[in-house]
Amino acid sequence: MAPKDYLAEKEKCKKFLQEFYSEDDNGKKVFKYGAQLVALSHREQVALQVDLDDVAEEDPELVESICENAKRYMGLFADAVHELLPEYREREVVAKDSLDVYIEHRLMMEQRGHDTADTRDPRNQYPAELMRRFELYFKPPSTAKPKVVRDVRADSIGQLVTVRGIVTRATEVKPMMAVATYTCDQCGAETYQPIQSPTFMPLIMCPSQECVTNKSGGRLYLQTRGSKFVKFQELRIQEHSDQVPVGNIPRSMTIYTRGENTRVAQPGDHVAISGVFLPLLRTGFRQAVQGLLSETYLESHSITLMNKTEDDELGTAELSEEELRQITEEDFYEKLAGSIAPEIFGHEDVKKALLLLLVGGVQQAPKGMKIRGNINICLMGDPGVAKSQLLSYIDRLAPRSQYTTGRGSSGVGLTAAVMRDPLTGEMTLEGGALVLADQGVCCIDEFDKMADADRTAIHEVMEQQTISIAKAGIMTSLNARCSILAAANPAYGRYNPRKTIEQNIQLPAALLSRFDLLWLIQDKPDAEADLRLAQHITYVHQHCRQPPTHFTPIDMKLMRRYISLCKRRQPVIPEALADYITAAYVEMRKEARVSKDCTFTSARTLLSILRLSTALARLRLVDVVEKEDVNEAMRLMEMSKDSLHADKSSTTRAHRPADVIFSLLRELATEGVKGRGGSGGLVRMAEAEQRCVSRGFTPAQFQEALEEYEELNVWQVNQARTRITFV
Amino acid sequence: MRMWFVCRFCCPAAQSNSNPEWEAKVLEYFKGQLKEKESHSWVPSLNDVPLHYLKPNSLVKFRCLVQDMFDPEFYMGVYETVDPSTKANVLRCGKYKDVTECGVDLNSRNTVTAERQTFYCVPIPGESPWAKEISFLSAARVVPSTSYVPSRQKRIAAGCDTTHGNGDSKRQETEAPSSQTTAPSDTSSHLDLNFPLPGERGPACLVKVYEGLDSFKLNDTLEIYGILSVNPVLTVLGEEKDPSLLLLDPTESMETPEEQRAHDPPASLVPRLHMLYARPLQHNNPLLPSDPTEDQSAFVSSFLVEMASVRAELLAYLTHVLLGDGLAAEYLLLHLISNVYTRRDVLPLGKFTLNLSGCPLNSYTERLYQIIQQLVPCSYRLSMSLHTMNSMRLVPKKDYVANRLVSGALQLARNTSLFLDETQLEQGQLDSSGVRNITALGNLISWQKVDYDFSYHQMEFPCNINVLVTSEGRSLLPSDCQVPLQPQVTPPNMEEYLTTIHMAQFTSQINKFRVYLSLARTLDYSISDEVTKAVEDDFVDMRKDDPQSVTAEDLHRMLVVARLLSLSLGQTTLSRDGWMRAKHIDMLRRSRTEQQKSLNGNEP
Repeated sequence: MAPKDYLAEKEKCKKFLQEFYSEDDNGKKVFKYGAQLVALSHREQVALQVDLDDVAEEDPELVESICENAKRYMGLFADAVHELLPEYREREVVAKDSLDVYIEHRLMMEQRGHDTADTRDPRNQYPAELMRRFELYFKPPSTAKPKVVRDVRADSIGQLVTVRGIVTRATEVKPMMAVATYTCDQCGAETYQPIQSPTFMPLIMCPSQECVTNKSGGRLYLQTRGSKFVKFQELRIQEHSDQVPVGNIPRSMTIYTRGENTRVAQPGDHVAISGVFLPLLRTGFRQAVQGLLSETYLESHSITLMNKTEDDELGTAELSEEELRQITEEDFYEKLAGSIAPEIFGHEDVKKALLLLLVGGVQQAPKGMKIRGNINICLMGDPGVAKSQLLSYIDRLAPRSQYTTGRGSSGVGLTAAVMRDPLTGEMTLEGGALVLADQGVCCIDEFDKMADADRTAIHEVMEQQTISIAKAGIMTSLNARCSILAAANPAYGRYNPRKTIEQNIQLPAALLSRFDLLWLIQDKPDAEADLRLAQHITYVHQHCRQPPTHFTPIDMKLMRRYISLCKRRQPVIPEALADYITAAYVEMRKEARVSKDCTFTSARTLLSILRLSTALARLRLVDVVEKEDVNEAMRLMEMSKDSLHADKSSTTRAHRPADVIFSLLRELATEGVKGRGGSGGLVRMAEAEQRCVSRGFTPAQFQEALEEYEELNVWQVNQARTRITFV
Repeated sequence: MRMWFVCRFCCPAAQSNSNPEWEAKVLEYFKGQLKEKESHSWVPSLNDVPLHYLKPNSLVKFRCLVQDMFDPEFYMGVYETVDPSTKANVLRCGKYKDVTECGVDLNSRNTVTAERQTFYCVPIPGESPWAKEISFLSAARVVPSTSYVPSRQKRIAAGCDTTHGNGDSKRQETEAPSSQTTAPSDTSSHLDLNFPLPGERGPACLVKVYEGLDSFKLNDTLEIYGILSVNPVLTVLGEEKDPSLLLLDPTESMETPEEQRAHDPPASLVPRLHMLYARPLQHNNPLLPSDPTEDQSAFVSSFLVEMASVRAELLAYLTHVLLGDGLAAEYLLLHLISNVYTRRDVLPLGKFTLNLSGCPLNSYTERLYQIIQQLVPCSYRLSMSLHTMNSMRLVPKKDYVANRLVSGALQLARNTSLFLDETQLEQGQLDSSGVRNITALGNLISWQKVDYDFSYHQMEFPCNINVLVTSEGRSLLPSDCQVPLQPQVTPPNMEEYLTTIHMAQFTSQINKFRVYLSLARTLDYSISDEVTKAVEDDFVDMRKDDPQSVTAEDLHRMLVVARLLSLSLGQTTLSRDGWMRAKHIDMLRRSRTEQQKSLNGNEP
């Protein structure tokens, strides 16, 4: 292959910079790089980023050569820019720093020198690096896929590569010498030494014509003011955990950043870095003994911060037709729900609810009032019914999530803490699990084990979706727009269907009503289900793998992408449906009043239905909520209620009003014992009646019950009928 | 012994660079040679022979665990040197070497850059003394090439029977003058060799891997054949870490001093090994043929005949050890042959964590461990005292300053027996690291995985560790099955009692047990459809009778018990009888736990 004509290549670069334009909306030509060159020449801009996508429009071949031999082309482009700059200068530039002044002086001196036709020693020519006050970077073409650190191998040396990873170490930013300037103590001539490697050997003897001919032995002294320094920072990145094959250690890579790219990333940041992969040249003794090895680094061109691994991945890759078809075939709702924790058997409705939680409803903010769109779910159940597995699966599936257990986290651990920085003494806010799960899911296991004081911190998050902090002089409000998925165990080991939820899981009603759905997962014997379960387990043990199901669970990554696609939709509820929903709600309220059971039906219920139905509409990727969605949402609500008192059917005895009134009064009596210090078993009539009426019983019912139990000799009513005494 | 002078062999090959297949040929040659019968026993082992008795650049083997994987490094596969006197250019080969020849021509066009990776390998953690001894003795017999006359051999031969008995031999060995096992250097004091378990000894090794990088995983146990490199220049490099020098010249190295210490320790302490060939080890029991070839299958079939009788003897032995409790002995036996044979999603199948509750106090558990240690090739006893739980590092952690994985006690080889002694636990406060440690143990038991701490995130590493928990009451850790110990005898002097039991066994007998335990684990197993059907029906019936007490977990456990029971008898399929037996002993066990519950009354 003939060696490349780099002069011609440079002309190409020049041409590109001068002629590249795009058309804006009005059809006017916009010279993207021309404008930037003007800014560069006026020292208003430092970094010039050449987007290789733009280059590809003009000359695809050039892009290829740039990617292959990035370092060389960077030089070519820089030369081109340097030559073009004077043409773009429109006015006199005000010197910004001492180096500007210095350069100006040298240029003037050179012009004067030219007048006297004095030819300078080429070695004493001003090096281009000194005169340049701009930095040039490439932006890799968007077609180039980001690489995994472990895929950057020896064959990538010299190429422009993009890697992703997490920053594990960042040094301080230090000045690094780019051009060393010396003056001679004899003749006063200046000598320049461009520096490429991390170390250099300072020049000692003056190479100028004068000194050499006179053999005066002029010594050179380094001049810091005339030298050029660039900002330099060394980073170390490590692969993301999901890029590491099972059973391997994540690999890392050293990144050198200069100039404008410094101070972009800090340890712990997820970054995508594109740059040139280069070997590090050693000199001297180390080179001799370690000659066999060469260290490598990535000279960064652009650093992009990413908030989390998946975000970027999700954004870039649109779902392909085929993938969409795979998802949106028939009964996709069941299929998606079934793909949640496929290793857990059954619980289809719970899984559907969890799917809706992942998708989330639409958030509404009419006139500054915020109505959350996130769906909160509480799972209750006997120990060992895979609640925690469901939680941890959701934790893994959700793009952003936090997993905590109630026992391990206090209110501070969940919300936010004010910390004093040990170095600076400043107060800093440290986000807790709820803050970190902003726009994601916060899974709280063992919700019931949490201390009451800590739980109150969650109230605000669950409805207002913010966390207010007033601690140590910091008053602020942090966003915590997260869905809460809680799991709780019943208070007495097993769920007692004869008691209310509050009694069963000892959570205050205020908190319970903030959950859109409450599911009770119970372990109930059922011959058919048992057989299926047994088949499932024995199959696993027999064949060492998952039994074939009627569907294959959808891949986790695909799910994530589909869910993020769903989240972009903002479905609305059409006018026509409003009446339907209102009617349904009124019906529910009525029902609730009659049955008087353990759940609440309040305005929050209505909002829950709206959230669930918008989530369902999102799931179908449509923009309008349909009646079906509302029906399904109400069905889920109904199912969740059913799950709470599913056993009622077996306990044949329905609650008669008299029985309920009796238990109310007994409660009152025991309260009285606690409150007034031992007027045991005594209830005042007025108080009792008031309590019963407030619970929706008529005074007639109350009287009836009173008489009935008096006959049974359970309690006695005094003559004036003002007091009830338990026997 | 042609094989030892590898470098002489490969340098001429480099000069005829036109033939790129030479590398493959070299490997083939060595593999061929090593396949020959007995040939691998000629090669001296780094585990047994002290480093300074081995010739540099000779072929050695090393039985080890991959503790850490460093970043890949680029080296000059082929380079050119210029002879300063004659100005002649000579092509040289950089493979399998650490240091270049003098006068490298950096601008040569013939330089080829290649990639290799370094593994940090340590001897298999918790390897039982008997396993070391046996492999040592067999190795010493056939290594004529080293001038090394093993003094240790004599000591072991003489002290074999006495040290055997009290089982303390491991500690004795580690406390014995270390001059044989590591180089006599004081530098070891400040150099942390990063062994997973405290008190371990042996050479750690930096293994340079050239081929098949993807086939190796962290925590693999390997037998590595490679070229030993202890070039003193490497040590010079290591010592060149004067902090003042570094301060003057911060850009000299991309690595921090800590990093250099971890990655380039002196070669006299951590020799380099250039891997030619590595064999993954299924087990490290020296009594069993390690190659999964026809050799082994013959061995297996011959042993299968004996299986039932050995089992009966072992059961009797364990019954004695467990103070006459036959049921507990049965479960202990099953536990010892358990093995995670597959994973379904996150659920490991085949794990069988045993919780022996009701253990007598005062050092019974310690003696029990010593007896188990005599039976299994790899084991570790973690005394769960408050102090150790709070201070010990169980989970490996990435140290970003030194850029290495700092090991923890849970970084163990597959099938290691981890003996958790909860009887040592006393009342008190667990600090945060103690809580983390307990959580890690719980995760290990329930999921057979350890979440390594990478500071910015955690990484899950699956493992396969047999966990045995001994406790007074029910353990605070989860377990697959809890067996309350019911001693039938109460010997007045426990020490004496156990020692007599142990002494009563002949070495040949013990060896049989060892083979039995390792072998039963490797057998294949299957369940026929017919039996599956029966099991399913059985389960449904059981649920009908008592739905509260029979859950999916119980079925899982009973299937595992059935599997282990069948395997322990040398049966490779589940029979109806096997299932009934499994059910039966599980029933016995449960009734015993129930009983215990009603006795104590305060069990949850």
